[in-house]
Parts: sequence; C-alpha cells; structure tokens
Amino acid sequence: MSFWGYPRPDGAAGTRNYVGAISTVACANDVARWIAERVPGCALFAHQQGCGQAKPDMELVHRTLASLGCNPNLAGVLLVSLGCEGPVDDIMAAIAASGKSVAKVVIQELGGASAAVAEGSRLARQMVTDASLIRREEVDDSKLMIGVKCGASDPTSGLASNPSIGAACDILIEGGGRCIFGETPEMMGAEHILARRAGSPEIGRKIIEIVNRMEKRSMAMGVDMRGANPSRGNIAAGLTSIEEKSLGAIVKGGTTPIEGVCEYGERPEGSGLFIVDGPGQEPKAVTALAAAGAQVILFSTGIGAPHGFPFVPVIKVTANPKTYQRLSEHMDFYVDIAGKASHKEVGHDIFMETLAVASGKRTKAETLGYVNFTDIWTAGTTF
Amino acid sequence: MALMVYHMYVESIIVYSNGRKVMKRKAVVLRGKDNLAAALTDLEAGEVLGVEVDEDAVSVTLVDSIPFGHKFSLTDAKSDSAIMTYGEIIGKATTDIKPGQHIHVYNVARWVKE
Repeated sequence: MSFWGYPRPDGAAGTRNYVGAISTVACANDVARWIAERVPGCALFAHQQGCGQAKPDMELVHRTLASLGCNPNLAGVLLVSLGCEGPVDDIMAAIAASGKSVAKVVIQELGGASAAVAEGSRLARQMVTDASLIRREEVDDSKLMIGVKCGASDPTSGLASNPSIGAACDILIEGGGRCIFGETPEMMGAEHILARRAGSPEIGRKIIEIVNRMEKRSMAMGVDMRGANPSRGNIAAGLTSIEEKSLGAIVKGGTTPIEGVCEYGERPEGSGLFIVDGPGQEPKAVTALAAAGAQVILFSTGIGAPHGFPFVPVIKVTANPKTYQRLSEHMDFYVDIAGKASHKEVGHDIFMETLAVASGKRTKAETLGYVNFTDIWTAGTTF
Repeated sequence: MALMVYHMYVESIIVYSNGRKVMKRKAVVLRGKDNLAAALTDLEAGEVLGVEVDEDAVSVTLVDSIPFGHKFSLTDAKSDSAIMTYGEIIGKATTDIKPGQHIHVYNVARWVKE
C-alpha cells in the first residue's frame, strides 16, 4: 500500500512539511517559541535539558536533538542556541547530513533575544518558502515508521486497543515498513518474552539489559517497581501478575520479531519492529519515537491522554466508550471492545486511518493545537 | 540471524450466551493457546457461554460472577499448571481451577522457570 508523503533529499518521506524551530538548551526556549509564533509553518521543539548535566546525558540530549532534526516531517531546521551550552555545530552537521537545510541563531553572539528573534525569523521564513514548493508524492508504505505508545491506560487498553494497534503494526511490517515502541518500565515482567522474540541473541541480551538498567535506577531511589506491580488498582481491575500487565502493553507492537534496540535518541537501521529505551512519561516517550524517525504515532489510551507532538501527528485510539464520548474532541479512533470485528480486522481499519493521516488528514490534537508539551529524557540528575 | 516462528494471530469471540446468539462480544480469548478468557462486560455466575477457538466450539458455564476486565478459566487447570493469556504464561495455578471459575491472584502464583 502507499501514502502521500513529502519527498526528502535522503529518500525518506515526510507526512508533514514543517520547518523545525528547535531549542538546543532550555535557556533558548523562549526565543525558539517567539520565532515559531512569528513564522507560520514552523513547529517548535522546546525542552528543559542541555545544561548542567553529566557527559552521558549531554551526549544523549545532543543525539536526540540531531535525530529530531533528521525526522522526515521537517523540511528544514532552525537551531536556536544560547551559545555556551555545547556543540551546536555538531548537531547542525548531523542534520545537514540528511540533505535538508539547517541554520542556527546564537543569542549570545547576536547580542540578545530581540536580535536572535529577528535573524531567526528571517532564516525561518526563507526555509518555509522553500518548503512550500515541495509537493506530496505517492510513496510506498515501506517508507513509513509508526511510533507506538500507550498512556493513561485502563483495562480496555490491554484487551482491545493495544492488540488492535499491534495488528496494524503487523500489516506495516509485512509490507516492509517499520514500527517502534518504547516505555522500558512497561516491559518489566515480560522482558524474557520480548527477548525470546528478538531477531538475534545479542538483541535479546540488549532487551534484558535496558530493563535491568531501568530497574536499577528505581532501586537507587528505594523503589521496587517490579515488586510494586501489579498495583492494588491493577488487581482490582483484573490484572493478576506483572507478566500479564506488561503483555497488555507490549502487545501494541504486534507479533513480529524484535529487530533492534535503540538507545534513547538513536535511529534504528533496517526494517521491522524496534524498541527504544526510555521512560513511559509521555512528553519524553513521544520525543524518543519522533527522534527515532517515526512520521506518525499510534497512541492508545483508556482514561484519555489528550496531547500530540509538534511535528508528528499522534492518532489517539481508545476502546473505552465513556472516554470516546466524553473526550471526543481528543479521540481519533474508537475500537468497539464488544463489537464483532476481530482485532485483526480493527487493526486493518487503524492501519488505513494511519495512511490517511500520513497523507495529510489532520488529527484531533493537530486541529486543537494541543501539541506543545515536549521534553527530553535523561538517565541521571541535573547538576 | 536466528529466525523464530510464532503462532499466528488467533483470537476468538464468544458469541453465544445462554443459548441465544448475542450481537455483542461478552469475552475475548486473545490467542489460540490461551486457557482463559477475559470478560468484556460484567458476567453473572450461571451464564452459559459458547466459545469458538480455532474452529473448535467449547461451552463454558460460569461458576463465578466475572467483573469486566477479569478472567475466567476455559479448561480444567490442574494445580501447578501454566495459566496463559496473550499466548504466554502469566503464572501457575495454585489449586485446581475448573472451567468457568474466576482466575485471579488468590488461585495464581508466579511462574518460576526451572
């Protein structure tokens, strides 16, 4: 199957055609936002990181910013820097390697915020003009990467929406495309099952490693995540074991082998199903999917998680009828949990909706503009 | 690269209730090798449910009332045997569990690999 995407110099296809106004450090967020507000066609990426962090976290932040800039949904990128925070030129070079136009403004060099907004707006307007000349083309769906996430889950997530989204992932992967999911804490209890599904023993070991690392971080704070699950609320809702809880989460990736495990901010190579290490917390988890290169995100929710992402459309899927009615302005796709259609049939419908959104159909979050809630995860603390 | 073969995506729908065909699904069996079903609505003890798994028809009379989201056994699960859903082991029976019985924390323990 195919969708209508914006062709990029590296052969990728965007489902959207924004110019990214990407802040390289929290201290530059306001200037990046002012530029994005002044220039229609810009998408803002702001976050709270980029300074006062240990070297591995700084590398993680810079890797993530470079990968976000490479996302095919951006036609061009304007990096907005304070100046003292780090290797902005390296991030620029990494994005430029994808062939797209990239520029920077440095607040400390330009003499302050006003001058940076003026210069940044000038650069961004030119990039928006250039981007506006790019036309959608019909491209094979093997060029699509779906990011998968669940949040504000309830029993309908594991029993209906996640298995249906998993069936949609199976369809894309069968056609040569890619899917990626993260949320390492949600894998706890099912890591041996995921490892068994790994495409190689090395990938299996990496799955166990990222879960163990995440568990150690919580243990260091005196919190036993494994022992605390399933929680009292989970048990009341019918979940019997941590294995069952985690299976209900990972079923959203479908049934194909795991072809690779990315560190946070990395982009996978090859086709098939991938995992990216990171937290479940939504603004940071969705960033990992966008950085991996996902051009569209399938997001299942039970209770109702409303927000999207600045330059990647996020399709909200729920199987909770009350949530679908009460939060209809936020929910894109309803799975009738008691309907006669099988998860496979519903998964096909979700896949067709995904192709429609990839081809330009706006999601609820996009039409609301409920998209500017972003951050980057770090493994350690701030110093 | 070692390639593994996985069972196909099998899912069954419980379509009959007390001998009457129902338009709404009452429970779901997520994978063909599961030995339990999850209720998609509150179910009453005594209700008779027809289940179709891989073209096999099974009839189950609910021993317990099963709240929405909770699970009930489709088979005679002997003590120490594996309890399976999503095609995977989620625990072991700590007592004999009859078809139609509620499956939860009081009759399931952690499955420890040998």
